[in-house]
Amino acid sequence: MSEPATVTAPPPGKRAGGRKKARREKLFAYGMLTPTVAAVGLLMAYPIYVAINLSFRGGEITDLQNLGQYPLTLSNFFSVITDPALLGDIWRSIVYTVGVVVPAFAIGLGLALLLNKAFPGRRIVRPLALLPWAVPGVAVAAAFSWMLDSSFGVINYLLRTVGLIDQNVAWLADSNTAMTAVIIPTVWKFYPFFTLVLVAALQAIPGDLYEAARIDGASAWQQFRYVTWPALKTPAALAIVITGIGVFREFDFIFPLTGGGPDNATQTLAVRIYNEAFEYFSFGVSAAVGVITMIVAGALLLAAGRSVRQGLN
Amino acid sequence: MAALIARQQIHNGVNVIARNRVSLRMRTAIAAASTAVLAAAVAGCGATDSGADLVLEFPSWQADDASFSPWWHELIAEYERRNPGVEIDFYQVPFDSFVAQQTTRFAAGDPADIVHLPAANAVQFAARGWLAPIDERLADTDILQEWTPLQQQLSWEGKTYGVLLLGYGYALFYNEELLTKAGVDVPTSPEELLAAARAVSALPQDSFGFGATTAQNPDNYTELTSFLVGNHASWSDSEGTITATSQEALTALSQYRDVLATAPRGIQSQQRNELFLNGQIGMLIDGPFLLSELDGARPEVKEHLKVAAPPFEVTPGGISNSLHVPADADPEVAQAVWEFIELAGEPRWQQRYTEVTSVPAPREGSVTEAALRATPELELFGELADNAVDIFPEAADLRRNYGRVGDIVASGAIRLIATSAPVAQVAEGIQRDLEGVGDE
Repeated sequence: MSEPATVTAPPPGKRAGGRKKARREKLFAYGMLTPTVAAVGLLMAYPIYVAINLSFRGGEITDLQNLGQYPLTLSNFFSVITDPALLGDIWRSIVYTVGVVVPAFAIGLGLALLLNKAFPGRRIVRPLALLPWAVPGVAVAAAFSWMLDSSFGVINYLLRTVGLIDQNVAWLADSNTAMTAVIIPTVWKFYPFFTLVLVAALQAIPGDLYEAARIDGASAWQQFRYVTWPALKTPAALAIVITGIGVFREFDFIFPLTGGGPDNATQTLAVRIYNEAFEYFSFGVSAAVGVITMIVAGALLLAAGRSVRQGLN
Repeated sequence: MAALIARQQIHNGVNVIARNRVSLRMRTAIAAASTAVLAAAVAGCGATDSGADLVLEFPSWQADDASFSPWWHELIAEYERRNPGVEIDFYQVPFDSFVAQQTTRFAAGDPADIVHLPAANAVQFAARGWLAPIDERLADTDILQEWTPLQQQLSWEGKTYGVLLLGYGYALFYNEELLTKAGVDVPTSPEELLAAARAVSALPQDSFGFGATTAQNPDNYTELTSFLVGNHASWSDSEGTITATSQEALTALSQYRDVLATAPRGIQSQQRNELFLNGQIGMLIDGPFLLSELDGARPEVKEHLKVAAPPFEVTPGGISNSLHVPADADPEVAQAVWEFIELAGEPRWQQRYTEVTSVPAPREGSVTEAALRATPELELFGELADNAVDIFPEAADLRRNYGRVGDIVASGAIRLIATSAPVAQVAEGIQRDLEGVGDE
């Protein structure tokens, strides 16, 4: 039997030295953090502060560097909230977001399952499938504006060739088709993100699980349902929420393709913010719409995050 | 201040190096490199690349334009020759984002030196205090006496804020061969225009009677309002009472819908022009600037492309672009900018404008015999510009909110083109929306 260990307290001088060292380390750590905090403050917090400040300023704002000269007021928010067009803008933003996220997720999942299989040329196909994610949104919009062109567009040509339409469709100029026409390029741009996230998650699933499932006689669907899907739920939920928020405030595709038209058919909150500021010179109203967008996006983020998690669980 | 910061940075750098016991050679190398970087930075702050004493920044959507940029470059060369030490930095900004970019720059307190604007937007900028009134400077020139009456559109609350570079009347461009094949004459009234457009559309070949912007675009405003003005109507009277539901306006909206039913769907003005140059469009209404594009047509089409007066009792017209002095410019810069504008307004340069661009400059007598020989259509364009009634709003609230007005009218135009909503209902919508302008 061994003797119990004797714990001896450090001498008082040594204890004080340790505290000093801890304090120095703490200060050093804060010192290291300071540039990051300052950069984040400048790049994120300050613009948000300016936007919020601007949204509460009345009068005709013509000098953004001296906002203090304009009176504080709620009139911008009153004007926006009482404008019947706001509900339409929010509704179109939601339609656009859901219209993009659902098909993009479906395509992304299907492609991820495919790319997770071993097949000849996989090394080439994988980066090609992810390529749209690397293309700038405005370039995608420019390419699709030609493809969807009512006179020379390849989409009308293909549809006419296979006999689905008799006459060219003015995809971007008709209120009934414009929203679909802006959703299509956005889906093309966003599905690779889902693929990327889901492929990474699929590769983390141990092969033993599939082997065990096969030995137990599980069909392909049952393997997906009971092995694959549980492993994908969390990353899928995260990807859906991140993409949803990104699409909700998306501007790059809608503005170059339709400018929010025709007849406001594609005017989302993001496009409205731009139009209020740069078409109508209403900087205060534009900032107020921006703040409302932040609030709506935040609320949707909370609700979507919770419901997606619950649904997936 | 820069030197102080530089000294401090070097001082800090040396301390760090000393603490870390870096060799003397390393310290010397770092100090030398730092000094070189700082010297380069300081040099970069204080002088221009060209060594000019003053550089005037001049962004424009016409800097790369095949029709207009040669004139600008000649003018700038002459200005720089007359003003040694002053240089003009003339560069291209795409038209689609031009107004937005200038808006941002003015709002941020950093406008360009020479302000070139689409003239329809000039009052928006003037009303916000961004442009300097130039009445005192104009008093020493003959510009107000010798310019087209459309120059008036650059006045706001009794003051003048710019000099117009192009005012025009709309003309009817037509393909004579298509009209002949369809068995119709060049139309001289809206009724004849509709009949001719329908006849051309009925031709067995793939042709359209009329060409117009049928996707939503600021051009919807100009095209629809041309029909309105051509029918003695307007969106408002001078007092600001909205008149979008007047009988004349309803007639114009109805004509616009009927005529545009013969136009290709979902196209912008550039595509419209391409189809016209390709010989697929019978007629379109546009300003004189389209003339220079006709040279791009295939030879077998080009010979059939002609110009006539628009088929309306009233000639609709507009203002294209203008030059301005920013309100808060340094006096030296403001004077230099004004001298540039003054040079552009000289008879010689106005005549040169007409010769190079093939559109009549705003100064009386700018269409010379030589220019007429080269471009006979200039005579017609000159007459149209003299008689033109401006399509841009007259009422103050509509002028200062032109962006919103343009969007409202463009939305109304799209409802006429792409839906079957009754004309009266569309007019009521425009009326209601225009009445709300200025209430925000």
